Amino acid sequence: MERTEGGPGNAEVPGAPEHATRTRRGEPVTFLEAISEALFEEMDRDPRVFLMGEDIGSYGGAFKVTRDFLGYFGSERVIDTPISEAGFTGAAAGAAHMGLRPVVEIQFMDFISPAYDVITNYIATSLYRGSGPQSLVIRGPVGGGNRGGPFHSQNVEMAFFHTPGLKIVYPSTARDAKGLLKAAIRDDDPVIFEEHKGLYRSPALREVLPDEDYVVPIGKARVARAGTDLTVVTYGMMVHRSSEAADRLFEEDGVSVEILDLRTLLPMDDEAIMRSVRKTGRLLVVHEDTRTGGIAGEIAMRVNEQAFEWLDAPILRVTAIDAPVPYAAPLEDYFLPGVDDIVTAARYLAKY
Amino acid sequence: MLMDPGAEVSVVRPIEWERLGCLAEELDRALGDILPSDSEGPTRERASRTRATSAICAALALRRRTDGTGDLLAPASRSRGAVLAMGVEPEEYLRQALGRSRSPDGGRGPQFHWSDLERGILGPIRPPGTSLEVMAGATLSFRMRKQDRVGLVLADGSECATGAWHEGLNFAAVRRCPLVVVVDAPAPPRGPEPDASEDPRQGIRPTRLTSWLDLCDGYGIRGRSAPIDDLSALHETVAESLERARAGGGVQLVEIRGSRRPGSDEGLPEPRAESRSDDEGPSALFPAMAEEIGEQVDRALRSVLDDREPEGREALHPILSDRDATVPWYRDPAGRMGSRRAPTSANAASTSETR
Repeated sequence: MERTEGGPGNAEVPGAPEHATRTRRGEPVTFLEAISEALFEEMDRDPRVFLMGEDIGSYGGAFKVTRDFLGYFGSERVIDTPISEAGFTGAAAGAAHMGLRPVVEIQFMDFISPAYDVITNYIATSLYRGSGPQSLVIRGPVGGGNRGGPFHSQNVEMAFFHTPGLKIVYPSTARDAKGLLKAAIRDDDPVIFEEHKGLYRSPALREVLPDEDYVVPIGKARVARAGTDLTVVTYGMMVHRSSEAADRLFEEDGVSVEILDLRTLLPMDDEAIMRSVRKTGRLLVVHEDTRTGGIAGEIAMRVNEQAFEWLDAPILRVTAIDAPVPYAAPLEDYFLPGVDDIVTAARYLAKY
Repeated sequence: MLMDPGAEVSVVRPIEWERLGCLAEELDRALGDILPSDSEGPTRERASRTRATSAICAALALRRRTDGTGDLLAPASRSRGAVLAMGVEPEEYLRQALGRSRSPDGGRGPQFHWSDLERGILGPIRPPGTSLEVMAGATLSFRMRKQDRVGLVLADGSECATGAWHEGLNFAAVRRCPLVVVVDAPAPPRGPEPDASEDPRQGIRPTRLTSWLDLCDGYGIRGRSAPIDDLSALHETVAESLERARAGGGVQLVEIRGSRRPGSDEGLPEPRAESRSDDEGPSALFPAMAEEIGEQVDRALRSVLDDREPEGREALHPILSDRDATVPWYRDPAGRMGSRRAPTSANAASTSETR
């Protein structure tokens, strides 16, 4: 965590959204409220920051992240858009060219696909083409477990992971969500910011955040749990699933698991991964995204290139199965990677 | 530097339009002469002189600055000659087209998809249609900041069938962005009519519309048309639309009638004639000017051909603002793969020591 100049201070802000100013009052915040606070504070700090998205104004957003923002910041900075992800993401690119710092909300990140063209062909290549930086954030909810089915549950990181010119952030805690989103808004590169909706209102994640203007650097992983016997590299919701699994493994098997929370997927913190792998000699990659073409494959190859001699076992992965996200509860529960899956794979690795 | 157009069209302006149109044509001719005929890129989409001149004529209606405070132009590939109106010099144009290291984008060409926002140029965009989305946002920023600026999109009509174009147009219309869209009238069918008894407008066509102005009511924007063969009328129509947009009138559409696209329209059963014959062009009307421009382009080309091409390693940056692409280990002079040595017999025995 890095402290920065300026910041929210302790003063109450008349008319400010109540849920976006809890930290100022010393109250704990949820993951969702941490997102709201990051948006509010950055908009308050920097007049170049503005929001665009579907129903984010008078409705306050599908998940109410921007509730009451319209009244405080006005309709020029909280822009309700037509249903046109390509159109308003492209418009964000134009505004970024002119020096503004747009934050685009994709109502469900599954809907980012219509904007794939402008993100990959235009935004990601702008700097390289000599058309200048694209300082913008594209954020929104991802992830399954809410019976949303194939249109409201996907993880989208790998659709963009292989596109040079983008950064991808995927936090797992309220503290990181706020600090990383503020960092993303201040970053000079385009950032895709994924928020697992299962974390939004999780009581377990509610915490009191520092009442100061902090950012979490993009590109730095976090050791979520120190251990010695094997490494789990993961991110988002799976950090918490892996923590549950690690508790069980320690209690039932005496296996000490180190969990590395990537926080940023692109650029990836190779150094942190290799440091942990060199310590434990065993690596399990866990992600909620589907298996084929998932980030586990890339991580395994990087470890193969950079730390092969330190491995005492094959690299394994626990992921969702290669299927569309099912609606039906029994199917989705089977589809998603769970604590039992992680325990099973980790036990295999530990005994290898 | 300030280059504002006046309200009236003096006798000097048409000469300037013709001079720059002739320059654009000569530059593309020079490129066509030295690049292979089957090469991709700049030569593939040469503009006719009529098109180049009309685009320049429209662009010269903008308030042009060199400090990033003026109006903004987004040309299509075939109207890229309009960048000359924004202050791009012939040498720059050629350097960019030939991918020289000192080109505006640092040698990443040959391509024209670069921008110079200080001079108000947002380069042609692929896939087509995206430029309207991007310009919607750029001009939205003018409105948000209460700046006295407008944007001008030059479209050739082919992009008007894309979703991006319509989403961008709708977004700009809804937000009343200060934006003018100049677009060629819909092209006639590209193939033979399927049945003479049917609607003659059937066939392979980008739209069933015969005029983009029919869209205007649907989008809630204002539209006007202008002929391509009357540059004064075209200039005045664009200028009036720009000022209306600048004054808060929202999106304005100007449809150009009478243009013909080399390439796209080549398969027409009965191609329409160019609006103007060569006999009416600047070569005939101003032979001394045309000769002078030809010599200017030849000089510029000789100068640019002496420039170096970029080195391969320049492909590594800039990927992100704070980091470059990683050099593959097999191209690294040290020959190291990540943290371990490359697998050679000389070092194979020592790898265990590194653990």
